[in-house]
Amino acid sequence: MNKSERTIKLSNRFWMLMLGVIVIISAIIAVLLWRVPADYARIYHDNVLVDVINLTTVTERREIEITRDNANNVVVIEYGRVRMECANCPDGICVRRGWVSGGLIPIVCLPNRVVIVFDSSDNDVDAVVG
Amino acid sequence: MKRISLIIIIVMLLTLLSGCAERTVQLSETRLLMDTYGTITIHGDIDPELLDDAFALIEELEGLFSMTIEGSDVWRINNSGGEAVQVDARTIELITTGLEFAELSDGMFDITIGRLSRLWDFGAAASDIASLESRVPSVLTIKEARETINSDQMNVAENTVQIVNSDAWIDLGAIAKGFIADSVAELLIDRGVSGALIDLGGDVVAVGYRQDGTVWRIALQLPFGNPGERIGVVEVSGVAVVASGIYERQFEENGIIYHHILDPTTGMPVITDIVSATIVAENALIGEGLSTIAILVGSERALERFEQVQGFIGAVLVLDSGEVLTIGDVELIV
Ligand SMILES: [Zn+2]
Repeated sequence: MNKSERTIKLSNRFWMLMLGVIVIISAIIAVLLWRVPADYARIYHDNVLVDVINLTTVTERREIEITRDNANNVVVIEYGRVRMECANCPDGICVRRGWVSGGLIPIVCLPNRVVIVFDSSDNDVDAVVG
Repeated sequence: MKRISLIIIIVMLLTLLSGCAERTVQLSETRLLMDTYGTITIHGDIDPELLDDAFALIEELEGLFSMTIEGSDVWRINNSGGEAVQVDARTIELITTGLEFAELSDGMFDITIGRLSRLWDFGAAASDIASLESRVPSVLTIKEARETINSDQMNVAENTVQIVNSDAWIDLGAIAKGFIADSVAELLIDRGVSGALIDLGGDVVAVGYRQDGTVWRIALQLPFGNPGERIGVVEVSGVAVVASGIYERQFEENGIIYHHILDPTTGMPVITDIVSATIVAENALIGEGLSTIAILVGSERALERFEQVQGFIGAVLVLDSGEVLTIGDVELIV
């Protein structure tokens, strides 16, 4: 084996190693990108975003009060779920909905213009009718 | 050379692994509309302002078709004292379709039901209801409202609408959402989306395919079930899916459930064998009209007639017996 052959061998090994490292790094990046936390709840008042909560990282019960215009709604957040605890709306539909942990149907308080939307990547359908 | 090819391979691998191969974007937004909420999802090589434009169009059309917004086309027709009123071409289109639905349903579907639907007021606030002895209107007021219902008293010209009986009101609430969903779909197609899903509180229009190239999957709500609990799924592309049910807006008094689909001949919630009707149609306007008509006329007449209606594709009817009936070209995946 002469010197130049050895250089080529070394250089090949270097590139193989580089390739391996890059493959591993891109695999890690890809996994991280694909594992975007699926369960966000986004709270809107009158179509303006009030708060975004990652439901998978909630460690203790949390209350969010929405007091704007004539609306007074209290949203309670726990690990993986949300509910409208009370609201001064006349119909009470939002409170009766109870705990919601995701899905395509938002918690809606039409009279007070409050909407809680879920971002879940695990929905197997695109919409619900009826 | 070797290095260059290696670099190319690495770049390709990186691209594949990080999913950067997709050049198009998908955007989705949910907003409150006048009396429901809507979600619009679009994908393709799209203008970021397209969603704002779509929601603005919805607001514009609500401003024409609403019974309660002062100055809307419908409000002006209802408050014209029997005079002809100049209105938007889209209002003419919607009213004309509404009158066709009256014919199709032997008068069971009637847009001049405004006085009666207002009387029942299913959207009434609890504070208003608390002061009432009963939410069920009196026999006398129902009779008065019922007497104003008659599609034949409407004169629709090229750009004017007249209700000859100045006491009568029109209510386009049972079909406006369908028309609006179709208009949004048209706008999105014109602006070059690859695919879109327009969901206006139960009126769905599926444009093209999902971003991954597969068909859109629409779940059918189980009547009286928890939100999201379903009887099955329909897979669609390029059509509308619209559902109506007697469980949607209703109240109970003295053990009787009063729902919001009113029979113009009795002035009362219609007695029907259909609990929910989901229609797959070429557009949401036909879908919405037929879903209400199904409940108004019952399953027997729906079975007889719907397949002859232009634009109808299929229907899934849930009967009060619990039986699920399908008509036409629709497959319910359970
Ligand atoms: Zn509420």
